[in-house]
Amino acid sequence: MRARKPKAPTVGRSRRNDLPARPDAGGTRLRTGAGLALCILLGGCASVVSSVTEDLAEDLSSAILDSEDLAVVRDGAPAYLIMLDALLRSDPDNPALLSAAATLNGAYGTAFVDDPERGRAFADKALRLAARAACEEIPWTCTVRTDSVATLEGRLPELRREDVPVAYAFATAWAGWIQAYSDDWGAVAELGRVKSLMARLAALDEAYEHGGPRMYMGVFETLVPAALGGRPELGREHFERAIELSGGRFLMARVLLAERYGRLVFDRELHDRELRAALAAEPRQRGMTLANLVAQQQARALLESADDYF
Amino acid sequence: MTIFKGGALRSLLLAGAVLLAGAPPALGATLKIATVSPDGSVWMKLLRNAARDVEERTEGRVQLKLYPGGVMGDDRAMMRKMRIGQLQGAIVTTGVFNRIFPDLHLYNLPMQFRSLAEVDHVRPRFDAELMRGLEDAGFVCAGFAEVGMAYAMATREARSLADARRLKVWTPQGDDTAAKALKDFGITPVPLTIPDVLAGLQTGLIDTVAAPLVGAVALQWHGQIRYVLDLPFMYIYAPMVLAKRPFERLDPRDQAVVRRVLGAAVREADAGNRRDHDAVRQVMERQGLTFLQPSPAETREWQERADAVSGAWAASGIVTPERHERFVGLLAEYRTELAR
Repeated sequence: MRARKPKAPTVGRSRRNDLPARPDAGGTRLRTGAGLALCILLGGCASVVSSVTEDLAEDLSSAILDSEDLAVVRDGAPAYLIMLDALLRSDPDNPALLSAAATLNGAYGTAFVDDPERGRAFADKALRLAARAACEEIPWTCTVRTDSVATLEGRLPELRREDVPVAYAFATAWAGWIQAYSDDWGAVAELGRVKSLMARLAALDEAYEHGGPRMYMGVFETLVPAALGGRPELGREHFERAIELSGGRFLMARVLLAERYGRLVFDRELHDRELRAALAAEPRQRGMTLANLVAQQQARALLESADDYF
Repeated sequence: MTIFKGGALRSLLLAGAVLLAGAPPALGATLKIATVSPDGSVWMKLLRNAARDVEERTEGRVQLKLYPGGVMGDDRAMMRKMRIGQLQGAIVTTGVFNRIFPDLHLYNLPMQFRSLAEVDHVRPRFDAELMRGLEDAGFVCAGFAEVGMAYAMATREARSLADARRLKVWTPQGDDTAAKALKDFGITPVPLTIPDVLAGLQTGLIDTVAAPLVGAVALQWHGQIRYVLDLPFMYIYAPMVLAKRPFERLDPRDQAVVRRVLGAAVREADAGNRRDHDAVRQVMERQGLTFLQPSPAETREWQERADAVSGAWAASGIVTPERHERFVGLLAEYRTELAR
């Protein structure tokens, strides 16, 4: 039995509402999910500062979660990033807080930062925080980035369902970091490890974050073409399962199915069909509105560039 | 300078329009070019820029339509599609030219290039000749992009030729030249398709791959490997070719543009891959892979065997003896210069 540290305070009720920060490691930058990360943040905050500001935090959380204005979130989020840094000073080892800060930094960097260098700074910070959270909660992850793949794979069966929130935040921050550094072979070399970790998370709780682990697996399987060992059809199954898990209400999985799978196998019919479905869908879904709006923005851009691509 | 304002400029433009109208209508052409490189890769970024460039410089007469990610199939499928006119160009590895222009294998002869410095000496003096050969075989070549030196990478420790003969070494399915090279070393190849390699390493069906370091990391094989035999075994490169017939239907000026723009893209990829090679080696060391140094005697044994294999290939006409001689001559020239 491995040593387990005491559980951190559970994060608030909006914990399951974020989006992967950078689902397309190695590909085009995706504007995604910053707003939803705020919910996690606020959920995290709510549990940390519950005695004083719980009501306010929860109201704010809902407001941002269901916000229909990306610009407001873009302009407002930095204040929360600073607030989180401040909270971390007084509670630096709180895994929930670390994970929340990681996810917010990663998501904000991906969604709203255009300058690649600044983007990498956000990704660095996100990974640093998420790795610390994971290391606190699941000690064997402390050395996971340098351990051999065999060591990692030997450890994965030890992961349990209650580890999923912290491990998922770590896996997404790690994937986001690799994407930010996709020109760096050192980063690319770590891809297989993240994929193994995400596969275990998908096995433990595929429905987590509206099917987030499945959605990520879809991305991993479609990074390279079949001729080079990618498994596009398996990727498609992951995406379709992710769509199913949210009852089709979480539009990012649909957009990624079109972008990653549809473009990889040159299936324009699927590409356009899924994107049109994402655009026709009602984005206002409790806990997903902001992410869905980002997904629809992405869908429009992909449709516009389709003639050039196909 | 007011002369070009107003009427003068208008009449110049008009004159231009009249001249253009009098010229024979240029035929628009779309060249479909495929690669297994995924979209978003460095190759594809360079090609997309090149496509824009070509379209602009030919005023829209030539368009490049790109098919990334192996959507047109593997190297063999792409060659087939070029033959029947479904594709006009592709970036492929040299294995597919076995029967079309085998002299491309001169650069692939095992351990004839002993270092990248030797490559840098020979290629500027010899690429043009190989590109002419390809042209005679029906392919316009925009250039060769280095992939890197292939190294033997294994889950087990092996330094000597005798050690290597006990290994289960992967060879790309259908690549007869690679299989023959291994057999000539007394090594039994295990042919598998690229997608099966990772699983093959995991299950022990194979325990060794000979591949460029960059490829091993890009395809995540490095996670299953523990040792790299620090002996550059084979130089791997990828020609970018266009089918000659559709190319020659382009206006000669447009042909020149396509050659120039694609040539520059290939050169950039070539240089980029060299930088990657150095970076990847460091990454593999950081990830805990051991680079095994064979002893001088072991190296000598490998080298003697490799020289014998290469000589036999030239003698049996797998590569043209005259070209082989010139190739070997350039290498000797470099080594003599170096020794001075």
